[in-house]
Amino acid sequence: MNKRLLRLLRVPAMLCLIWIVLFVWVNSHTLDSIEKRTLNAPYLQARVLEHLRLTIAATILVVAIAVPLGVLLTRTFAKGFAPLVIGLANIGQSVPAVGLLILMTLQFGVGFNIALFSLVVYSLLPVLRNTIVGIEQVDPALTEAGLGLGMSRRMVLFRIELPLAIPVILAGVRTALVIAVSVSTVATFVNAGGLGDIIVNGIKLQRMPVLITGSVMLASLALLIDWLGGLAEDYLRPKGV
Amino acid sequence: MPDSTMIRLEDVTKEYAGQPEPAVDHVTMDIPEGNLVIFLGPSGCGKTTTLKMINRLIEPSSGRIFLAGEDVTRADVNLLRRRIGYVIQQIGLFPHMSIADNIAVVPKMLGWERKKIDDRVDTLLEMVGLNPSTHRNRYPKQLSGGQQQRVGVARALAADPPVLLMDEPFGATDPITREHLQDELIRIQASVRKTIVFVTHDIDEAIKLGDRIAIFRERSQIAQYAPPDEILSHPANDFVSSFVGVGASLKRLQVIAIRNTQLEQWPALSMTDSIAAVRDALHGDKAGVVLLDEQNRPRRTVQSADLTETGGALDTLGTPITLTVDAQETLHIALDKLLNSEGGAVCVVDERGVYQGIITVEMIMRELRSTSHQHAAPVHWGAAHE
Repeated sequence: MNKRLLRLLRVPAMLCLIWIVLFVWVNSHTLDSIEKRTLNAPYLQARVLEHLRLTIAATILVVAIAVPLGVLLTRTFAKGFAPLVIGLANIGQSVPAVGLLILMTLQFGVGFNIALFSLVVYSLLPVLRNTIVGIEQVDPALTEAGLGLGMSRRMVLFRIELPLAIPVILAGVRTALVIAVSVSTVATFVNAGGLGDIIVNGIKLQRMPVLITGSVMLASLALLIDWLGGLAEDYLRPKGV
Repeated sequence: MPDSTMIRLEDVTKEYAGQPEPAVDHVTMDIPEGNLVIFLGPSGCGKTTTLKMINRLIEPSSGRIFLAGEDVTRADVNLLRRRIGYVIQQIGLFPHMSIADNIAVVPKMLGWERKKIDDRVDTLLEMVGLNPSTHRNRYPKQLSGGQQQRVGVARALAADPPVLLMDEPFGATDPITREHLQDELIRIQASVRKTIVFVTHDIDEAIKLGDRIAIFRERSQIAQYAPPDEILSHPANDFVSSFVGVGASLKRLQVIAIRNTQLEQWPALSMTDSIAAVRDALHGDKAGVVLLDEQNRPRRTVQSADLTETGGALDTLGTPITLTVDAQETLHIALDKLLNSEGGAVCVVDERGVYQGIITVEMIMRELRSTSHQHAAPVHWGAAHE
């Protein structure tokens, strides 16, 4: 139990340490007025919240789209479409995020929704693929046993296939979350805010403390989200599996 | 026909697209209520397909299926399956559900009350030889393979269905576990008397468990459908003979109960009788006498060669009896004990140990030459269309 707790707290402890080091380092500098405009609590907090909002909204949309779609593509009547849909999702992920965003912007303008749309396209694949794999790896003997006991197809899906696919689906969601956190950075190019703003400020204005603060905050946010995803995987995994 | 028919397959055929021959070709058979019927045959003969058409996991291409006289060929398939227990080789326990929840699947679908379900789960766990309080809340992976299959059987029996389909249920277990599971099934079946259809390719398992055996050949054609003893003593054709293989007589020993045989009767004397009485009894063509104690339990056998000129006490005469065999056992057990006994004879006793008669090698050979035992007249149940 203690070992487990230690392992559980390893990532938060590491992040705390990094933040302390960052804080001390930034404070050892005398900040000029440009730096002060970025490196203050209200500004940083607003960027983090924008970033999180975009990430979480994208992930919720991805789950809402990819899980039902994945389930559908494992049903006998739709199985044939699986390669096509996965192929499309693959293209979505292969296109460089910035490129996709720019193309979308040329067509539809700038803003939160455009960034959101690009993010969804970009992080759909892991959840879609893991949903399909998660359901297909369920032992056919279990679905046969379920049907043989008199369960309907729907009952077999909701009581057997989906619960047993949850660990694999969650692994996909975790991947999608991490992708969304990092790709949300480019939202700054379509005026959708986020931690990308800080980084771009740091580069444009050639202010090292700003650039480093933005980068470290982004990296630690990704690690934190991944850590939360891991927790969710542990706690939502069905017992006995 | 003493039994009423529980399952009837009528002219049932299964064709698969792109295959030149049907997997199951116009099969008709009746499965009597309360019987354990074995579907026996080589791999790919269609016996499992035939089984799965009974609960319509595989839908027949043509023909009709009756359950307790009711045509279920078009009945609601989910409701039908809740009336038929189903056990598969891979066991198929749901790993994310506790043992109790696994067993409760069908009762829950049938809308039983919580209390009734809990009681039923405990009853079934006890029936299959698992302690309810220790096993109820465990998960399948915490159980051994043999224990898992016991739960599989309990789950199939949960809603007390009249029919149980078992598709090579013990095929994946090791020989010792398999033997235990078979004994358990015999014990359970003696109390629940379900109509059981049991698929296997193991002739020994078929002989041990089956009230009747249907031997399938290609396209699910039934080569013979008869009680085990009849299959072994009167194989209907070369296919059955070759499938039964060598050692049919040895296998027959496993299906003949001692109580159904004509035992040799050696004169029985009391341990308190005199040597003279023993000498008298051994006159004529008697091979030996049996000495009994006050409770009529056999203690010693005495044969002519054991008698000496001088007298002596009866409690040192002849051979002490160390092995006896219960009349409920089979000739197979008797022969095994015979091979380990001195004097070429084994005493048969009843459940209280009282002397019933003698088994010798000659007696066993005589029994094997005589005709079928449990069923005096050959019975032909629903012969295949040839």
